[in-house]
Amino acid sequence: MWQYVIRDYFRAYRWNNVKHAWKTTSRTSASILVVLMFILVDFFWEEVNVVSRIIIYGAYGLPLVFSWYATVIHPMALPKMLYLCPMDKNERRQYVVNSYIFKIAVSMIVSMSGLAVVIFNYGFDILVFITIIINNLIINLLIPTEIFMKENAGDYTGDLWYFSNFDAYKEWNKESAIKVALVFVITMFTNLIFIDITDADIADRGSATFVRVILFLIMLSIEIPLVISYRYFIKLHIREAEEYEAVDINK
Amino acid sequence: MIKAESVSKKLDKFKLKDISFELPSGYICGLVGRNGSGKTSLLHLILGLYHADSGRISVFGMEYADNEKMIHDRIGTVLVEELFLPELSIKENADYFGKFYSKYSWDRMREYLVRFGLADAECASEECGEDADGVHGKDNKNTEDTDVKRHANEYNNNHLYPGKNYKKQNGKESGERRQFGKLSKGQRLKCQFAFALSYSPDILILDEPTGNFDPDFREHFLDILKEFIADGTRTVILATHLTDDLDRLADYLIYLEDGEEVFAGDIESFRNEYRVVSGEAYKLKLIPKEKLISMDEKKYGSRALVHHRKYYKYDPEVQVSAPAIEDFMYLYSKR
Repeated sequence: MWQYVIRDYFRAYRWNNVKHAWKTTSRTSASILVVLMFILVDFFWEEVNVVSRIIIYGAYGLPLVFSWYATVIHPMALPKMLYLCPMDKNERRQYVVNSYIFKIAVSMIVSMSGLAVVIFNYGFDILVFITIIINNLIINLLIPTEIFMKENAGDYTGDLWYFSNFDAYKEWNKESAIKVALVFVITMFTNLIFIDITDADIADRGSATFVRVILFLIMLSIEIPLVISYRYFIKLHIREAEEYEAVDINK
Repeated sequence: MIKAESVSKKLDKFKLKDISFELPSGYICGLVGRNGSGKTSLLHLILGLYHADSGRISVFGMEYADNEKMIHDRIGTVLVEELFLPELSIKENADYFGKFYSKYSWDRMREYLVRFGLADAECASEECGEDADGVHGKDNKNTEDTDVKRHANEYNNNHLYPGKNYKKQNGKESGERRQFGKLSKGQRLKCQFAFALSYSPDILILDEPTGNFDPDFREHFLDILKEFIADGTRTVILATHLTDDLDRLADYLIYLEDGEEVFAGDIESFRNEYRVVSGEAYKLKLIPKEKLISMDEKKYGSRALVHHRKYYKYDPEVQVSAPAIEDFMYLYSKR
């Protein structure tokens, strides 16, 4: 089964899919990029090491964009033909779960590549390293496609297996979307602040340590409980993806 | 073989209500109705893609809740939307999905591709891929495969589908190595039809496949359906607007209107139950109201659709005939 999971994953990286993903998640994608731009404004106030900073933020931001699009073009739902093929529910569930795990694994590898660039530039700090890994894992776990689809997308294509009109999703979509957006923003900012203070020429190392501890506590007290409360939606996504009826946007 | 008992299903703004029928094996069933009448939804219920809100559907005496895998292994499907993946080649698609079916055979798939003009009958081994040995000269004891091969040869010899030279040209892949997404709509449907036949299903479900077939291939397609049910153990459900084909071919008819079942039964019963009465409007208006379903009044010659009773005597000045499916659909919509 894994060979087909891997092939399905890379098969989705077609230009048409990327274009369609941009079109159907444009507001949210644009919002994320705008937020990143505000971060980059910081560059204009730094007179030294601008190129280095661009590289660092790129090393952090590009994997983020990759994770985002990887999620958008790899929805939980399977191709329609797989709902017609002789597979029982358990086999289909396994396929969905394996695809989800593989997607997260690839996104984490890309994130870690970016993190390696950060470490190379700023040196290794265990607290920063652990926090950014956990934050990236949270981001990659939490972003199923459907959260960010327009409610009445109506631009389904045969290539992409989106489901955005299923009634049940409309009810809890907003709730889960708020949680995901909250976690996403917190993780992104904590990551960036970690990077920033790692680089900062702070005379008082005690202040830097204090800020790091606060950010770490934010992760423990806000992010992780949100992730735990979100697990229900992930299980629901997986369960719904076992049945064609739940993912049929043309119903 | 397929049985529906008071099946109802509510969809977004539409409801299938109380559908009941029992389709035996060896029949070609025509599923007809206007656009939006529920044909595709009913097919989705039969395929197990939707679950009925009430009632039950059984296929081969089994229900999807307990035997989904076994049922799907015996159903071949061609739907309006393309089921193959556009970025894979024909062969890659067939191998990818075919591995799930217990009786899938690439040899059989290829023979149908040749028969449908999608692959070359004679080709060098490197163009046939790894399974070249399986295509030519294999001593195939399976009667069905022998028949398919014979037909493929006949058609190629008769140049009905002259074996186009699909050898690699200008660096582009050919034959079964062509990318599925780059085929025309008609070719993609043929390809999926070939795949549906390649694993010897017991039921063939076709949702409006003929719209994109050229007239030559439509005849060929109907012949294939007749071959398919020839042994009396298999069944075809064909949803189509081309009712001429069903008039010639169908043994069983399901007619849906606004999610409701107007008729479900064998075609003989259908023709016995209804009559189209043609003549002057004033004559038609004399037909008792309880018999009259609808009337299409025209200045020169009107027609009425009526319930037929064996011993009813019609006015000698009107023409009475068993309805063609298209006439029935047209007149029924005039209610």
